[in-house]
Amino acid sequence: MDCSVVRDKLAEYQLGGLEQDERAAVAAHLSGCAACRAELEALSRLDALLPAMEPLTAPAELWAGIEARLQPRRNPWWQWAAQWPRPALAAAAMFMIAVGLWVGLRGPAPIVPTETLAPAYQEQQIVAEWSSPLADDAALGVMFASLQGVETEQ
Amino acid sequence: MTPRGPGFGESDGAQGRPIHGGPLPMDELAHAQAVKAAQSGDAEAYERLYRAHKDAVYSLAMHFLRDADAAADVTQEAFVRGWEQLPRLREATAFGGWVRTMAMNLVRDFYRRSRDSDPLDEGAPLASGDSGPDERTVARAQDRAVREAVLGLPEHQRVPVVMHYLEGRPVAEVADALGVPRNTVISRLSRGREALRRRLGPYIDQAGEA
Repeated sequence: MDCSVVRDKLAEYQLGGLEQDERAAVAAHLSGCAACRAELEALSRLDALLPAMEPLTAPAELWAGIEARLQPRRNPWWQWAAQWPRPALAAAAMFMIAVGLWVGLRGPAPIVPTETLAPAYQEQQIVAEWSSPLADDAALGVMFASLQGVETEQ
Repeated sequence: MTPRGPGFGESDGAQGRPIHGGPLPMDELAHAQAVKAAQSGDAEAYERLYRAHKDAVYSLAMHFLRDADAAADVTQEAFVRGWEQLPRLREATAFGGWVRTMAMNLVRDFYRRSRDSDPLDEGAPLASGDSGPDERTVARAQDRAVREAVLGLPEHQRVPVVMHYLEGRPVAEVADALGVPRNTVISRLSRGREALRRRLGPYIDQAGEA
């Protein structure tokens, strides 16, 4: 080990942070190098320059001032959800999945507005939708009746 | 080295330097539980954390600022900011080092603001014994240089240096308080110390000549 390598390791050497073989190599170098020993002594004198911190007690009234400034915590949604009972959380998740599936299975809205389709085609579509188990019978009935009205006028 | 006050006296085996007496005021489990509860908004849990760490933060601020009102302000501000930023703290055991880091940043800001008007050293007690006016001036300059050198360290070196060299805590305790491995603390202390050695060269040489 040369002096520059040893000097890089002196602080760690003093702190006991080197591996055994590295420590032995630094110690061997120090025993034969007065300049590096002087550097090690300088590091020790640095310790003497760093004044010990006097352990003090904080004034008693500090907490009141801190407490007055503490804003209520706005928890993120996952912490809020974590406070729910697990069965309720599971039921809410199932509901969300069911809604998602229903919306997904309905398929995309027709690209061509209903009003622009030929009445015969519209009638065919309404009758087809009527057979769906989730069909809104009343709404389809109103649509069908209005379609009939359009045809009558024509 | 100046003598330690009450509560100092044990020895860190690695160096034979006196260390801060006793463990942290809360055991690790209670500490972690208090951090978790405070992260969820429990102000009473945060008060327990405050009581466990307030003296260390206040002592640190007083050490650098030498002004009781400024140290009290820094302590208050550090704990208010601590509450605001606590949800971001991942390692519950690292609260002690984390709140010290915040306090050190506030101290540094305060120090920078005050540096021009230089009120910090007015009447500051120095452990220089029966020295004359010239010696007192030199001691005061050295004291200031040391504080500025420590404050000028990068954040990741500053807090370990303060905890180990100024508070006298052993390396293992600093590692726990910062939530990092022991070797990381040793490496940061080593780099911090080298930086201080460079910055305080003239004072170190003077100490060698004395």
